[in-house]
Amino acid sequence: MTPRPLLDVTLCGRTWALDPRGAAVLPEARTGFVADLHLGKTTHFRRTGLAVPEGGEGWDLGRLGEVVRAHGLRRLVVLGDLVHTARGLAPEVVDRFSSWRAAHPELDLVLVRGNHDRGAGALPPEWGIQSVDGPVRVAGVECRHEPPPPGPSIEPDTAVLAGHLHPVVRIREGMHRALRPRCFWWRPPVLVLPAFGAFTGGHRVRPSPGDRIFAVPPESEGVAVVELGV
Amino acid sequence: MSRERDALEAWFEGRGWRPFGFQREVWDSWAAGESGLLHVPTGVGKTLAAAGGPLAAAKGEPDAGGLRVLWITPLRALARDTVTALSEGVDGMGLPWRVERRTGDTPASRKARQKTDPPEILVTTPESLSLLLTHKGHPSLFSRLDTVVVDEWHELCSSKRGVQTELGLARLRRLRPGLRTWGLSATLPNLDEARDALLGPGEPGRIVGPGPDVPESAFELATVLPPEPQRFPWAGHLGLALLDPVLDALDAPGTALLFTNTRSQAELWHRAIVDARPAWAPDVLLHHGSLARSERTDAEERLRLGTARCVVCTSTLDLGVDFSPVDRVIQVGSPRGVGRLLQRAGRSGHRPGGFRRVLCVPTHALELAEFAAARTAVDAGSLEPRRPLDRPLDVLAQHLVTRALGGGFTRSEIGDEVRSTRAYRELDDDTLTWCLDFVTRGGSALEAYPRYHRVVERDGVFTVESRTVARHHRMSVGTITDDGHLEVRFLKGRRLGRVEESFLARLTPGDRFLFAGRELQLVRIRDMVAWVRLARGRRGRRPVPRWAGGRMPLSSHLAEAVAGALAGTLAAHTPEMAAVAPLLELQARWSELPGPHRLLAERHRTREGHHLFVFPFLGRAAHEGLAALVAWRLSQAAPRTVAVSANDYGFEIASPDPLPDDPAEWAQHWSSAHLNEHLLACLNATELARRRFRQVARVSGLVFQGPPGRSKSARQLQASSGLIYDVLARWDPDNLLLGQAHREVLEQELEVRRLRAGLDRMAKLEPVFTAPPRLTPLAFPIWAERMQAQVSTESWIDRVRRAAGRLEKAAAAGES
Repeated sequence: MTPRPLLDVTLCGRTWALDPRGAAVLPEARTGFVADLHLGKTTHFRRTGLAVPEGGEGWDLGRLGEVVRAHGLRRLVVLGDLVHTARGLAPEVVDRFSSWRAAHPELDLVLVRGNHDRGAGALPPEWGIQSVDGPVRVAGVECRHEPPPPGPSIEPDTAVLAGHLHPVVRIREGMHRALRPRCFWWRPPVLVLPAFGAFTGGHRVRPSPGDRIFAVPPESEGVAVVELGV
Repeated sequence: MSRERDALEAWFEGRGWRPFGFQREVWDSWAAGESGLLHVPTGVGKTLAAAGGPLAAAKGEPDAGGLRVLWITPLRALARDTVTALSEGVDGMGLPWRVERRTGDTPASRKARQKTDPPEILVTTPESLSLLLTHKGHPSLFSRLDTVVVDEWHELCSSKRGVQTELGLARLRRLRPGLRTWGLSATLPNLDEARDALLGPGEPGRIVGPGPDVPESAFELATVLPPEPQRFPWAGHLGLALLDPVLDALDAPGTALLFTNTRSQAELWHRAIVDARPAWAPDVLLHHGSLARSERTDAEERLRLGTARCVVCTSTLDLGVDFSPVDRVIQVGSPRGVGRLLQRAGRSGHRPGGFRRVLCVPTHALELAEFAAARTAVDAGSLEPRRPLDRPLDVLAQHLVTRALGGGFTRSEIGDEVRSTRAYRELDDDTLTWCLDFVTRGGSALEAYPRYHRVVERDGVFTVESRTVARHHRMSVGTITDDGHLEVRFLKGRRLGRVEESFLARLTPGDRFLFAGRELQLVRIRDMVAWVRLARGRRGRRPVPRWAGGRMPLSSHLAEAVAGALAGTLAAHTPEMAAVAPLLELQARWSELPGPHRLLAERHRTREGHHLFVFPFLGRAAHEGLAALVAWRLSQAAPRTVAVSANDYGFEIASPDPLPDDPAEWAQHWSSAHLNEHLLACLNATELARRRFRQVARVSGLVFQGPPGRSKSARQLQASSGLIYDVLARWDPDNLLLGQAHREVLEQELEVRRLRAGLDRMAKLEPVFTAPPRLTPLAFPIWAERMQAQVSTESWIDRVRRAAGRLEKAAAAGES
């Protein structure tokens, strides 16, 4: 199957918009979902003596604001790992997110705690985030950080959204070359979101029959999410 | 002659030895306070030449104590043998000296004791020397040091570990200005350069070679000739077909070393020998760089004791463990270089005047020509140079942290110190400033690195204050050669070695593979460990890990010699060339033979489209660069799809669309104008540079690789070098380490110097374009290379076999 640009897709009977910035949106509920921002990760690195430059984080928050505005979101659910570590939460990192929050005062912000969030402790109150342990139901969707283990225990017609894996897919293009874009990975009824943070690695997924893979284009391409043939 | 020297001579006499002229020359030179470089064949007494001076001098001293001689060796395996040899000398001279080693394997308790109560002679590796320099007390440890010996300097000097050694030596010379440094080396054509790298440029140093009293050992190269040299050789095809003659050779009593060029080949040959002769299984061992330390030590020990029938190995056993000569040496596949073959042959007949014999086993027919060419080159004494590296900034960055940890430095101190090395002799102020900024502030773009913290500068002194930084740095110092690998362990816990992550990622639990000479079954992968058990029952398809870096190009020396052999100007009347003659006749009938004054190019049409095969004989790396360059220039001239392929002899350009007819137009495409610029543009330079950046990032401390079974805090620091590359390219594009990666791509992966020289030579050759009716014997292996890159292994083999069958039939039918 040849890849085709895609914005809207029906999963579990509901229409989703997959945003090329790395967010999944339910337009009818004006609710957006993102995963794995890992705020403060480069700071954590620098504090430990690894010379990783700053810059990506401001860019991440810029894109996050675009998602909120583009889809007119009322509610944003972060599917875990909003922050990397307590050590990474330096004052300038806290301030940067506080300013972002101040620019979106009306937004209902929910964090489904991930492993990194739990390690980092309580979030600054001025971030105005409701933190919960997953799984939790929001807008008729089951939200969690780690994807559930495979098995029949899930209600098949309720979509489950998860993060944690940082999925990427490998696409061979001739000899010695391959693309490795981030992707949304749909294995009914679970949609695993790509990591939103720029300074995060990827875990290669190997789709099985029945899965759907939606590749996130590089930002410079300026195109929509594309579905790959599996 | 002094009384001390008499004692040394007396000890030699007591053992029935007579010192060689070169040994006396080094002893005298040492006694006169000189440094130098000694190049003699293995097995004639290099170790005692270098150690004799200090041992004799110690004889005349009343008090022992303190570290006097530091002995640096590139391999831990060599360290043990060196300790044995030096201990013999110490005992023989009746000295109260201790000889100890200090490597990654030395227990921590002993290391701690060595710092407070050092032995008189310490045998160590470049990494362990760097680690010693990270301790604040190192000046007192070296306060009585008067001699450093660097063994196998020819191996070290052209690598980043060599640069690490240069920096370590510069530090030692600052601490001990009269320090005598001696390098032990194989013969190189560029001995002056090697000496400058060892002693620092402009420093006086004697170069001592074997005198007339060292008998030359004869070199003898025999080749296993295939019964019917395959007309259409392709990589690996003949491979195990010659197993029987190899088994015959192993049948003779004694110990053999069987060298292969890749670890995968070593695993395959080991398995094939054991399958064919199950009774030999306990005495056929394996030795390569991915095996666990214990597995390798076992093979080394059996070699030393002479109880192994055969050790199948890769370059890990290239270096002479002086004290374990073997009875025969077998080389499977191309020798890749004249010096390398000579060195491997030298593993047999480790006696002055002994025979250095090597039995060569071709894996494809054209390698017969390589063997013939290698013999001619050895006879002519024509060896490859080893070039020391210039200014690798990642190694400098690592050294700056090492020195900051080991008591600190000021800017002017460190500038003088590192500029006294050959590698950094031309280090400019801006680059030094950048490197100091990199370790203190993260980079030159100040605002980009808040809260960075590694080296701190206070009142002009650079030091490390954080214990975490200290711990991480010490863990990374030894990782110059390491890569993204997983440990392979039995469920019961025994370590087998390390395999590339990318290979294991392709397997699923239950899959079988060959590794460490065993057929293993993958159970699970967890925390960077691949847990395995022995596979039992039916034999299935058994993939062998393919390790990166196995595709070493043919040295330009050997490539030229092969071109000469094929043209009939060299090595014409050898059994190898006689065996390969039918193949060359066919080549001449269908096309032409390459010649010393002409550049052969073959046009071809297949179902796939249009092909041009060109044979410049520059080696694989240069051809890969050249092919990509020509393809890029072609597609710039007119939009089209071009596929490329290359081997050591030539390269191929293939396209579904017609290719240019005019030889003059082609000459434009391989001209050397705008070479660097076009190369970087066409090779998707970022992709290559990203790969190259892995090592740069590891060495400079941009990525942190914790120990296996990492703690949570280490996991939080995991980031791939590719990710760091992207972040740097976007947010700190002027970072000099990115430039370092680009430079390494051009200089080392694409061998741009060799490429430029090759292009200039090509411009002077007479182009000969032919249109053969079928793929010629020279072209076929290049075409097969590309097929390998395009489709999966199994169907590739099937396709190639089918194609080879077709061509064979046509040739037999006498078509032309």
